[in-house]
Amino acid sequence: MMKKSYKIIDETGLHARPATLLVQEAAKFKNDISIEYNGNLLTMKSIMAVLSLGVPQNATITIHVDGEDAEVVFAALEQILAKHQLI
Amino acid sequence: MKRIGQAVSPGLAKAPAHIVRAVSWSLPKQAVANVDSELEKIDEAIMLTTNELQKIKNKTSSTSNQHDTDIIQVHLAIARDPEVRKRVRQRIEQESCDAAYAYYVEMEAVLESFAKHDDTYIGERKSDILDVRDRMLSHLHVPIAPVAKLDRDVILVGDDLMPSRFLQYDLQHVKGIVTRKGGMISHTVILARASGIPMLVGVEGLENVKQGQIVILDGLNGCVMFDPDPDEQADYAGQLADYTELITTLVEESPSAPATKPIQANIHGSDNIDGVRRYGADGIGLFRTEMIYMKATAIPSEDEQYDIYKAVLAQVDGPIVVRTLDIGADKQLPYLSRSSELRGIAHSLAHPELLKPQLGALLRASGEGDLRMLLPMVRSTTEIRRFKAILARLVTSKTMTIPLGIMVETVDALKNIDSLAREVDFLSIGTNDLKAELSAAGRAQGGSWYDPTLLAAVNRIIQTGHRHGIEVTLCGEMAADPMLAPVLFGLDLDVWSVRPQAIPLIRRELRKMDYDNCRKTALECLKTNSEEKLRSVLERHWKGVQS
Repeated sequence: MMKKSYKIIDETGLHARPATLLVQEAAKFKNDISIEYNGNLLTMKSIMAVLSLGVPQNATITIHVDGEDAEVVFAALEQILAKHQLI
Repeated sequence: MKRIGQAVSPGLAKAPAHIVRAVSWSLPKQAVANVDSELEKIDEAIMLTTNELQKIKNKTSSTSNQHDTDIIQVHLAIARDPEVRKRVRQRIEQESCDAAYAYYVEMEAVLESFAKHDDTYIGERKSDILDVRDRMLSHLHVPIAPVAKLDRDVILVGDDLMPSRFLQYDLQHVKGIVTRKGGMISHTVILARASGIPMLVGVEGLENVKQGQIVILDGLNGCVMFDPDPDEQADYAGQLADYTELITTLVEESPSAPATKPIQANIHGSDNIDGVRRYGADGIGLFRTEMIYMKATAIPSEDEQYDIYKAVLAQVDGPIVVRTLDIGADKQLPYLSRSSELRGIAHSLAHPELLKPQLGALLRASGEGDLRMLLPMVRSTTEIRRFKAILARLVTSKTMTIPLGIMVETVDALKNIDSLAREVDFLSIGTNDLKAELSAAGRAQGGSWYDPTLLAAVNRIIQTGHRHGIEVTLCGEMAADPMLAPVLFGLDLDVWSVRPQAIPLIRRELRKMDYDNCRKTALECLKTNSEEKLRSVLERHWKGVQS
């Protein structure tokens, strides 16, 4: 298992549009992918789960990836986080 | 607080606000014996919701509104959420309960987990989740709780008002409607116009309006005032007096002065027969029967329908043209087990159980007066022949003969107009749907009736009808526009059919018209290639008439 932390800088936090893209991207992989914030660890393949965390600006999230080629998964997710200026 | 909007149904009104909620669901938990079939239902609802959203997405992405497309993308993700699906399935299996209840409870839990955050963005997400939830529940065929009973006059205020919801209100008490969503030809707008209820759409900031707050709706100038001050109220009283006087004058002069062409009424069900008589209609050119079906809790029987048609025949002079049930797409019947993509006649042919009681009733009532039948959304001669075959089997005596006509409101009908005209006794042009189909096919311009392509289509339909020796009626909104009356007159339109309130004005214009002058204007309009040019020809015509 690999995990990495990111600080969300967008002023509306991890909002719906990029969250949707992250969930769609996560769904493409067979790996178990989870997102941790504020003591809650939830699957990253569910938009409802991700949104229910209510990640605000300046919060730090931790993404957990299980299984093979975890770096590929992180790279794909990081690309979206960066493209939408969340990190 | 004054706000502007688009006036889609004219008139003035003042009454307390009645806030309209999108929908509220009545969802008792039901024990089920067959858990597998409930599990299937959930997957089917997810599929139907996804397809629906995908369609909306394709539509919005072509109009290049990135924000709308983004929202639909979020909705799609919510509908397909694997976690929600998993938990709903678990609940169905553990509690042996119905799919709709399990889904509803799961979504409530999600909403509750959201309520922990007080961010504004969560509030917006909540409305997205509710939107998807309501789509899902509608595909799970959950009955919608009835609307609040109105015990005084109100103006309905809400984000959106579905036609089926609108029809549930006691319309006597509905003095006006203000919504954020809705366009010129949405079904609720058409219903509001037909019922003479002023309506404004595209009004923002409605979430701040409070139940019972006084509203002044100005459906002439396209604005609305919430909680008006005394000056504004006095101003309204003056405007209302002027408007009432104008309408009274028009109505009074109307019946005594026959026009050169028949002007008939468009009605929904049989509730507004008084209006038909008061405004002096030369019969009913479009009797829509959806309301009879939508108001019912099961398919209305032949006897029930016979009584309705017979009563209308007894009350109205002149022909009564009954359009067979036109549902499908956005007009669904709650008691049908499956929603359908089909519309109009195609829907009826696929559901003969809906059509047969109506045809039986019409055949029986045909002996009581001049009753005619009109088929909606026809696309091919095959449909007419299949309809005739069903009809023939129901005819039990020789006195049962009904003239048969079709609505020409699809691009296919326009294409096949010559062979279709050969099959029927009259044609009726539905410009609302025809305009929408021509636009979708990329052939029409703009959003108005002042469209040379639409006008050319109308001309072609009239010409074809006359070549086959049959009458042509125009029953779309285009017929109710007095500005266009000289053009339609010049194109030799036989019958106008409009909402009752529009009859006096059209009649007054038609009485004054000089055929040669109108013919010249009509031919000039046909030669134009843009809305702008068409409008300028019309302006010249009207200036010439007035000078």
